[in-house]
Amino acid sequence: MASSKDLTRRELLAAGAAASGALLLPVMSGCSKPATGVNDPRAAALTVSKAFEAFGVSEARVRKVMARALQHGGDFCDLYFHRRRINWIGLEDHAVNRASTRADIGLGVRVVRGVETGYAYTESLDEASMLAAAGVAATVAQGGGSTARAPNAFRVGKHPSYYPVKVPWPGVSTKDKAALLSKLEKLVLERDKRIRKVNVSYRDEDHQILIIDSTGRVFADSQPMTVTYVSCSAEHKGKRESNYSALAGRSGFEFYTEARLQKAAREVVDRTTVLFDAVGGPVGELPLVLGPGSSGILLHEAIGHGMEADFARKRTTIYSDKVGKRIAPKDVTIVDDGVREGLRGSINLDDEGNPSKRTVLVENGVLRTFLHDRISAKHFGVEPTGSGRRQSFRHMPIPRMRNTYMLAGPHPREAIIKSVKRGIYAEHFTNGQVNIGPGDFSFYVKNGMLIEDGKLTQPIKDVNIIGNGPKVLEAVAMVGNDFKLDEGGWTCGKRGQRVPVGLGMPTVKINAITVGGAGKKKAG
Amino acid sequence: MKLLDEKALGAVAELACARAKKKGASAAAARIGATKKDRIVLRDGKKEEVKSSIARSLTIKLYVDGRYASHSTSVLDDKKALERFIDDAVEMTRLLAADAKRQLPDPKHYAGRSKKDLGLYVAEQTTFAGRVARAKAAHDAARTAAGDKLLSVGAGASDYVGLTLMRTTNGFADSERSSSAWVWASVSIKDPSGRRPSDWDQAGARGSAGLSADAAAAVGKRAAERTLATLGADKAKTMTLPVIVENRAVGRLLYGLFAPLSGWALDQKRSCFEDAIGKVIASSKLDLIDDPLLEGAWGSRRFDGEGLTARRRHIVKGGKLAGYYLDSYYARKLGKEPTGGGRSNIVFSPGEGTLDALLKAAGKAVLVTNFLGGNSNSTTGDFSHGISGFVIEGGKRARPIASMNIAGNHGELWKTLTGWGADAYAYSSVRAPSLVFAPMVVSGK
Repeated sequence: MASSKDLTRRELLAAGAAASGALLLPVMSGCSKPATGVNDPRAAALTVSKAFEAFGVSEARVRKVMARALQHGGDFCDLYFHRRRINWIGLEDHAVNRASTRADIGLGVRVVRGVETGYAYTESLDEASMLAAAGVAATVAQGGGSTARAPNAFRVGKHPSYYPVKVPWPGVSTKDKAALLSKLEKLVLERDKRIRKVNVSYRDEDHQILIIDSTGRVFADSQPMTVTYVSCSAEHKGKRESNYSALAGRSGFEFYTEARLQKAAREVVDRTTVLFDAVGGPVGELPLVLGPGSSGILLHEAIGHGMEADFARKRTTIYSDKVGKRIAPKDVTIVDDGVREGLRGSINLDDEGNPSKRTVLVENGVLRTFLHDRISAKHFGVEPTGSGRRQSFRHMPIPRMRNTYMLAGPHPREAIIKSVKRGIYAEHFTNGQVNIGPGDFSFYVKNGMLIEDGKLTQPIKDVNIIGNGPKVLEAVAMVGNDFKLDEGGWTCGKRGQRVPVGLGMPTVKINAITVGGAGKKKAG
Repeated sequence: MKLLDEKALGAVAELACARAKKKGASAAAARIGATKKDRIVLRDGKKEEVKSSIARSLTIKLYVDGRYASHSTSVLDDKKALERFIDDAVEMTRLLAADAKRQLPDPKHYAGRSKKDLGLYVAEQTTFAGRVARAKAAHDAARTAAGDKLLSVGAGASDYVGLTLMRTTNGFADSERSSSAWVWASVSIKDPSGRRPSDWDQAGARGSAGLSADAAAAVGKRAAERTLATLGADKAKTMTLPVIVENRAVGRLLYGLFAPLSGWALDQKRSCFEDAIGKVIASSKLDLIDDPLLEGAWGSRRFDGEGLTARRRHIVKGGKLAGYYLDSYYARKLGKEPTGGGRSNIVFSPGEGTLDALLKAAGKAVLVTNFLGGNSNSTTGDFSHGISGFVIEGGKRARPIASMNIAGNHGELWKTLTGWGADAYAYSSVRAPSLVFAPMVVSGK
């Protein structure tokens, strides 16, 4: 149901929705024929008719739908054909005894006039349904005084591939997937005899998209995705604890190497059992050291959302008037990168057909550029950054992050920790959120350590950290030389849409941030 | 097929179940959702978004050779394609491990469904012009109330109509229509500090006639006033004070209390409330009632997602835990009777007074108007959430605060509830009043 929360809420969740305490995301899957010809985006032979054929539409029909979309004028329209097949299977109590699948196909029609968007979608690709959707999207341009016009001649665009697949999902049997889940459970149980319950939630997805716009551009892409989320509960001296680990990437079945499974098993067990010795977090402003990898969650919340240009266009982000200004010390360079191979947030092209890029948000401490979709790029008179993303054909594209990370700096990790007299070290997270306008953000630390006299001493757990984006970036004191990308299954929510994203970070020290402990000496 | 065609959609659900049985399923449950949504957003005097959709989906739960899986598709019109989908789904289900606890609910739990009209559906022809007018009333009122501090105002209106229909192979057959109309506004203003605070307000009704132009304008005005009140907000020093949570923010906190009550959490050893029925977990004056039969309320229903008959019941009674949320599967695993796995409306035992009266009575306190992130641990009950709101002095909002945090444990927090208002929030299934908690640490500078 629509509510204003669609407008204001921006959240980042670990895959498996740890935030909800439930194991499953709204998970789906299905069985549809893979479209031939569009599977390999580099296929030189992809013609307009072949691309259209994959969705059973002819060029004449596409023209007719576009003509309807532009019947009242408008600057631009695009058609987004989307087929997705999602398979989920789960392990609980030693058995792979649950699954769900989802098969979806549809068309989203968008008409743009200035900064105004008309959008409608249909799940039926018959002519009448497509024309009806186009007619509804067209209403945005009504009464604007512009006249109807026909789209340009179509031509197929090429783009590189950042997610080559060795073993495509349609060829992988459920039995082989089930064996993977059982293996992971075995690794977890073998590692510590205090483990009581293990849950594994596994998902693979195939998305085929076809984008056709009124300037005549045609793009086809095939987007694979997989996520595995393993969680466990453990018991020790009458106390119980639980935790999770996740693995995610745009890849085929070859993603699940022995090394990755071992890592996930080790992480979930160690993160759970250390909690038996953990206390609640301290209270008040303290120095914070972020561990390498998933602590890029701080960037996602503290600056990433604030750099999405729809907010800049509306002047509702705290970074609206800061481009070209110094906002952090010179060791801080932050990028939003859609082109690193196999990462969860990587895309060959965005959902408007613009090439994916590596966009520098902050360069040596100076704010450089916002993340643009077509509308905001036009509004600001700049090139799009390939950041116009959507959850599915049911959603209009808006500026989104891809993989957001800070580049390595000069400091060894040991020196950073050693420099802190009393503070905390944060290394594993479940979720975060930001209020764009004031810039306030928070993220939830599932595992961390106290730092006392330059040493990691006492494990801490379940503490929220809260700060203000610009103030925290100013307070970056040391950037480590140990940059690491995270392979967790992060999902970002904004304006009612969820998209997969990635994170990365070196070890980083923040001089002061508020740590939200309960103010008790010993928890549990 | 018309959108709200119970007969035609019922036939599709029956066809899906019959096909599944023909292919070897021992049982099946098919659920169809059909929705029509229309929405418009105005921003700073222009249309920002005009969006419409008609969507249908079928989810079928299959029980094949003691194995279970659920399968969804949006392809409903093509009989051949639907049959192929079911055939593939049955074959896929066969590849899983058996689970004896997976069965359809005992049909006795389908019996006794309320015959009452819950007032969830209003038949009407909504219009684009109607939505524009509603959004414009909120937009214009927000703009006027925000005055020269305004950076941007967004206001939206939506109309929704939908149908949920279910058939099972062991005798469940029913459906429910629902409709809604909403209006909301979000206001951003410039704070001399460089911050650009924003806040929002909303109102909803089952039909657009329930939202007058005055009601829409009031939403816009409140969104602006709420935002203006946060001018100058800043982090304050760490303090220990009574904490008052405004009604509409309570849902976020209550979630952490409810997560450990699920059958999954109990069965998988992730619940801090295992074996806690009858134990004191809250103030002795507190009752929390799950009431699915409240007329017109946002969480109302006559049956749940499994077809279980919805009944009013206590989750907390006199401060003691009185109920869990058990769907039929986890109830069977735990050896208990199912209660329904999902929350409906949450109703608090009667409280007293308005929020302002609670502030006045408290004298010095922290008022939480919004949560920012945070989470809770269902295994231990620990929680930690970011907050913004006001420091209350002399019973009044003395200064706005932001970027602060509260933390504690759900096993203890609700025992420290000292009072609550009579101001149950009307626009959520969590019909929470504003809550007053005994002093706790509010973390800041």
